[in-house]
Amino acid sequence: MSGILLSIKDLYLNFRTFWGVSKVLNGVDFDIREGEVFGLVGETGCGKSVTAMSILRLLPSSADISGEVIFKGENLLLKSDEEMRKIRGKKISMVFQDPMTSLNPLFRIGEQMVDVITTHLSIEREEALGKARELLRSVKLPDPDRVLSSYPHELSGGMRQRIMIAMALSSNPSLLIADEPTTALDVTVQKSVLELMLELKEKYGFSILIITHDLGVVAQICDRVGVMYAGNIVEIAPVNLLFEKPLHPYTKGLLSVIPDPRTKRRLKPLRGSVPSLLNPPPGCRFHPRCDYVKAACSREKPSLLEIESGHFVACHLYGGNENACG
Amino acid sequence: MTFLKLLLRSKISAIGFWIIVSLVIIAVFAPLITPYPEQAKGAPNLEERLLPPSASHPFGTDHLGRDVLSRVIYGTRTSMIMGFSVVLLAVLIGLPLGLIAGYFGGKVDLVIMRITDIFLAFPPLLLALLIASTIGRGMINAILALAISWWPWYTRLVRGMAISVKERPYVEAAKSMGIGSIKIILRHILPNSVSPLIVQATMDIGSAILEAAALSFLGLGVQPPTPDWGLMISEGKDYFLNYPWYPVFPGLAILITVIAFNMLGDALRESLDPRLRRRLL
Repeated sequence: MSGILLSIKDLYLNFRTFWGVSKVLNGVDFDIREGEVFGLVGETGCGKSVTAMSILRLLPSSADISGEVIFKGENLLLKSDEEMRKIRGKKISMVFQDPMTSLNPLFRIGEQMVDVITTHLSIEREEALGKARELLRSVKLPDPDRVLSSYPHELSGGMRQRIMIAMALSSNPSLLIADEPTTALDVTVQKSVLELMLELKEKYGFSILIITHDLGVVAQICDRVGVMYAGNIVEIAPVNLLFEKPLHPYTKGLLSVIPDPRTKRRLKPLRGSVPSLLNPPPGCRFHPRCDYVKAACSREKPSLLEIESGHFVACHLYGGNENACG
Repeated sequence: MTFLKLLLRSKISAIGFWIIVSLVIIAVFAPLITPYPEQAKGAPNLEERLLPPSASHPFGTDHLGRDVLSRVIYGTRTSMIMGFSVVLLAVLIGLPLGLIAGYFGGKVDLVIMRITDIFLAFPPLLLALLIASTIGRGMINAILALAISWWPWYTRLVRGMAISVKERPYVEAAKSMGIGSIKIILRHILPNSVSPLIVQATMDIGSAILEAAALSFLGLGVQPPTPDWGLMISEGKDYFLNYPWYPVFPGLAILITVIAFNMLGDALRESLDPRLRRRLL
């Protein structure tokens, strides 16, 4: 087993809003190992993207954060802004959801890539252009010279997302965070972009944190998966185990709404909806929607326990948490 | 070249553009096209006082016998210099402050915006009058006075744009790649928020000329015998009933100039708006 690259421990995040304090992250814990693809899945608003932004510390000033984000043995939450800026893009890079708007419409691709490359490497413009050409080739864009002299609106979504990946990889980061990188793309383009990411991962040996709400994407590229619900990690498991043997009632619910064309089974949606984070339910935040709710669920927040090797779940139905119900 | 074609697409914008081009040419080559350059600069010619328009004096003469056409032509220089410098100076102060306030937000924003509030609390012309009467008369002081009462509008405009641009994904992406604040401001925020400023500034050159004329009219701007449209109207107003050509021609010059800058500003707005542009191309 390889070493741990990034470890998030007990991460709490509150946003001060006009309506009160929104408790967005409620003690998030997970590790990303070297060379693995870790998926973070959950519904819109469950805190996936905010978790990613916390790693890079790109949060608005209304955010209060506590806990630890340990990257290569150092707590990123204790770094100065300048130190943090040198980590962004150099050691941890990010690819965003919408490639159509992730590039500045007014400048050619070449200039934007050179900007990023020269931020982290002290090389001349000419050399940086050569490096950009090489990066574009590595993300399988044909005719790099034409791409470099194009404006963003002249390229397709898939091409732009490849450019974003190329830019993210320009200084060999150890961690690539991909926030719904394929949501805005066609299914076929989606597949080729995911395959490209896996291939580059093998080639350069970085880890990937992929954020998605698409379980198809998870099945296709992840090694391990964390399931998030309303600011909590409710289950972490290797990808096969999660699909074969989901433990948490929420994970079961998510898997039960994947349509299966081979059966005529009706989909069984989860009842209720995501709670307001301004005033979340006490105890387990999922308990108002859970079919197996017990007395303890509304009193105590279940902790994340390892039920079998590599399979963690935060639920009062399992492990030591059973005793907590009293 | 395509941009110019786009700009001159409609009749109105083409008219505005060509009027301004001719005004600039008139201003630059004033000494060559003026019939009476000496009179234009102020030399009196008392034998020919208050003559009506004729072949030798197409716009008539003023109360000191000077050719009104010559003085209107030389006045173009004064007006253009004042209009452009007021707006340029105001942009030079207002633009960086707006970018800083909008991008950094927080306390910096609060301080800059309260300062602009103080300036905006006074009507611009009143503030300019106050400043001009404090620092003294004259063309340079009038330019300073107008620019000082003008820049807060640009700060507000640019700040609003910067706030909206800094939320765009490409700025977030640039931050996530470790690009520094100054580079983000220069590369991403400034180019993407400057078009409304260009439009506003173009229209404002017309208004600045008008305000400069107002200052001169009130005696706090350009001083005689410098040829200036505002000053000519001010001197000519006493003769208006009997000798209307004296104040009317400089008045017409102001009117045409202001309208031309407004037409050009409108045309610029259309051609700088990428959504409109895409439809037109």
